[in-house]
Amino acid sequence: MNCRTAHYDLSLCLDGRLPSGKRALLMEHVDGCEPCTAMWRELQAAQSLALRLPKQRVSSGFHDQLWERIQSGEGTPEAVFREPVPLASKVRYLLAGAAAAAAVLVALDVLQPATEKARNATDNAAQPRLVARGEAQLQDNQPSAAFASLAPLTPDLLAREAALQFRNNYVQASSQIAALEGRQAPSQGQPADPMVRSVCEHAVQMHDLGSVLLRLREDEHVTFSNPQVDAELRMMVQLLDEERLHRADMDAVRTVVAPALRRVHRIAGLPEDLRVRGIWTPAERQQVLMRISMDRPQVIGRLFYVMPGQSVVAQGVPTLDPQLQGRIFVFQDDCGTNLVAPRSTVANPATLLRISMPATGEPQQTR
Amino acid sequence: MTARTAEQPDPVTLVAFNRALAEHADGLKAYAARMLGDATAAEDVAQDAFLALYRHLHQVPAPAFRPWLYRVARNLCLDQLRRRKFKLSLFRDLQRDDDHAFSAEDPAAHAPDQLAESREANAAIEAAIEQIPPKFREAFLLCEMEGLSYEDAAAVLGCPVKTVSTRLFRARKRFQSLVSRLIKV
Repeated sequence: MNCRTAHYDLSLCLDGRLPSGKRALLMEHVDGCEPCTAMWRELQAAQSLALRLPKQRVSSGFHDQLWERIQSGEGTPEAVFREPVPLASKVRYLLAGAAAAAAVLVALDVLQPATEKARNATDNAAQPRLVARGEAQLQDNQPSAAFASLAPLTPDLLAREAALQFRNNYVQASSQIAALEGRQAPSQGQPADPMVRSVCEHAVQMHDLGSVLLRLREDEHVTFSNPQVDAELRMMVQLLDEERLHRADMDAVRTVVAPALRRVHRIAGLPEDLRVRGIWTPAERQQVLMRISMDRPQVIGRLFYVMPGQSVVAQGVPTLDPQLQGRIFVFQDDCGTNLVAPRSTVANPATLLRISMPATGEPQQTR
Repeated sequence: MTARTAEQPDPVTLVAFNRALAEHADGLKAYAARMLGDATAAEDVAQDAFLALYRHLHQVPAPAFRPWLYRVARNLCLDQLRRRKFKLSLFRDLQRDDDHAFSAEDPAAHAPDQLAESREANAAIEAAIEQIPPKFREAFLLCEMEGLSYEDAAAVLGCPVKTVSTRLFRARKRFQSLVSRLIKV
């Protein structure tokens, strides 16, 4: 790899657009090349500088004036279409429109009466499904009625939970770093400070959760209303993508985590800045969730308490505690159907996550 | 002005429009302000873009609102710049440059954290952005400042995604060299 190529790749890297394998090669080159190291640092610093500019806002009368113009029947300014839109863009808009239309059609399908849907399901039984094995297991045990009232897990829900957990990790890591700054450095041979390990664990989680959010954003499944939050998230994911974090020592905290956290100012607003799509076709929903669970299998467990559906139905058709309504969702992965509960909504999983079995009336504890 | 269509948008589309208005109005104004160097004109551009979107809601799907708005804002800005006969020095407000010229000897060039918060530093950073060549600057404004994806920026600029990434890289290099005295890594 030559430095000229490396510099271009560093710009892509700054936007999280470099595949991990290529990124590793790039960082290997950067580590051994002084000019590229300087370039990488300066690119990050310049980006940080640009993003600290105060945000411009429209005036208070902007919205009222706009609605007045709309209601007065004012037409489109001619200059709007003075630049011809290239064919590629037209195709892009057309495809986006087709996707939106498909989403509406599938949403209508979801809303159709249950009896009709059941009839259709029978008709479609021979069609291939994304997750066949888990469904087959559940069909054997006839648990679908028990789960019928539960909503499916959606990428929107996952993104919101990821943003909340990202912030939790950020807040905890920040406070722990502040506490560590007042401590003396441990001498060699001393066991690692548990707080140091905790900071590194938070950093690894921030990297994983941030990567998932960025991937969802790249695929236009979510957006961030504040571009600065978007940029800070990108920067943090880049900075925390470090093998050193897995050593979980003070050096990793000092050289990786603390500098990364010092560079961000608005990331705590991530959950509020997250904008989700709201409408998903079952196929899209399943595809996106499956990809996340395959790419980063640890993330689902970090975001949700997971109860394998097979074990839930093993002793008969369960009745869910009414308290759990709206907090438990159905999620299918390649191991079958699971019930998942977002960690942020469950204060005490040992007592809350229980399923009453009608046969015995005994609550069954789940993990 | 072209004649408006009499169709009223359906409630779902109207919600999407209102959401776009809440989420993108500020960004659109900031983009136009940097294109024109004029905050008042930028607000008009943002409003015209939303007006145009409202009139074409039946043609533009909700996921494409953002690139569509930026594309329209860009057209409006280019039109204004043409009218001002500033085409040769696109995006450069000469008067403002004279008033707020950014130089490497900027006396405020010290610690970046403090500088970024000061008005002088902000003016220097804005001046540096203005000095990026127009072709590269557009990619910088859309991707770096407004956070558009490469794909959306390509739709706005009417060029391939690869071209966006190349222009953004060149813009970043230029910007980095312009603010290098403000950066102490």
